[in-house]
Amino acid sequence: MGALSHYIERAGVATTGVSLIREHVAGMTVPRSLWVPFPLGRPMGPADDADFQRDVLRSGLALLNSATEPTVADYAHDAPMGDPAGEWACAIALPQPEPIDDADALVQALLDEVRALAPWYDEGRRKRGRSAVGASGVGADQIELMAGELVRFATGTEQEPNGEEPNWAHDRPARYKYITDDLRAFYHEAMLAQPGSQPRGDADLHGWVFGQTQLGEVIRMAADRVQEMGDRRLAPLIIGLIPAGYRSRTLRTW
Amino acid sequence: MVRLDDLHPNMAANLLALELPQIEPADWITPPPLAEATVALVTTAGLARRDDRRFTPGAVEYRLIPGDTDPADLQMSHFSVNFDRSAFQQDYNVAFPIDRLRELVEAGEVGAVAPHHYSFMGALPDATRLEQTGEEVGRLLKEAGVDAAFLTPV
Repeated sequence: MGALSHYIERAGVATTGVSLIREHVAGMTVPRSLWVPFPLGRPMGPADDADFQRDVLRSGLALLNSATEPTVADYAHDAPMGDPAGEWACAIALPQPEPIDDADALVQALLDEVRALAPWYDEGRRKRGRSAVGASGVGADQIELMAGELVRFATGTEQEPNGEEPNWAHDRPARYKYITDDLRAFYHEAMLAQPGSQPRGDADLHGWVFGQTQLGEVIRMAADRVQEMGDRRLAPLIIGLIPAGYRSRTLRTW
Repeated sequence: MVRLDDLHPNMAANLLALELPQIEPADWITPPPLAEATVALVTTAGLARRDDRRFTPGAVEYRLIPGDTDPADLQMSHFSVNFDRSAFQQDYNVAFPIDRLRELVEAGEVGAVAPHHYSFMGALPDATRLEQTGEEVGRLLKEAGVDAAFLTPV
């Protein structure tokens, strides 16, 4: 964000905003920025808390009229994110994931999981009136097709295009990163539809997906497949598939 | 609450190791009082409308988000998985606070919402690659009568 601030200001438009990494904006002498002590992914604070978000926005905008030199202000409040010492668990019971080598069996296991989550995904979509699924170019109505595609890639059993492919937004293999994003969005939205199922941040989410779902296992296999392809240009794709610390099958905590 | 100390050590180390470009600041700008200012949102959350071209990894171009866009139509195609996406999935305002901005306008605290907002892909290893498109967005905002941009990362 720091570089964009400078570039936009060259045209005479003042900039302010929020920053999540204080060291970055402070090190780039941005004109105005409000550092917020919130988790990555939540620059305006907690979801569905309009009062809190409005206060963050108001505090960032206030710098437009209060700052007279490059300023990084610190937002005074932590985001209410639940008890960090407490336990969080997805309220939807899923079978414990298992290593499965056979591609067809793995497709079936992942589809079973997707189908178990589908009623909650539908409920969440109905409540919110929207869904974030679609980064791959394919919507949630084809989530099972996405699951099959990811397993086929992860197991090296891709099928040749038959002219009936959906309108994917990305070519292979980058496509699998966005299919992964869509599957995770589907899982997250299903989980969030459960009353009281509010994760406290990405550690809860990653811990659930990579510790307790078949999807997490399939994503790891897809990352393994990318690595086995031996093309160093694809190394960033692994980073786009699995968050730092979750590549190992022994779930790490810190 | 999350600070660098709360992140996975590898990720925190990567963030701290990022080489920060030193960009000469523009002349100091004194915008009009907020209650008279037109404000745009600029995000690096990799947002695009559902029918727009998705961002690709390393993209430096921007996507236009017209002021009358239904935010429910926004998709996130940010490359990084090292952040909590469930918040955006639950409420787009956590990364694109358009409802909050409209509320401040209705309350008379902000003058007006800009006719267009802009979205970039974040997490570029070299942010100076955004110079051309960043300047272009600044020019477009200026020409649209926008006084200030509120920037959100993700």
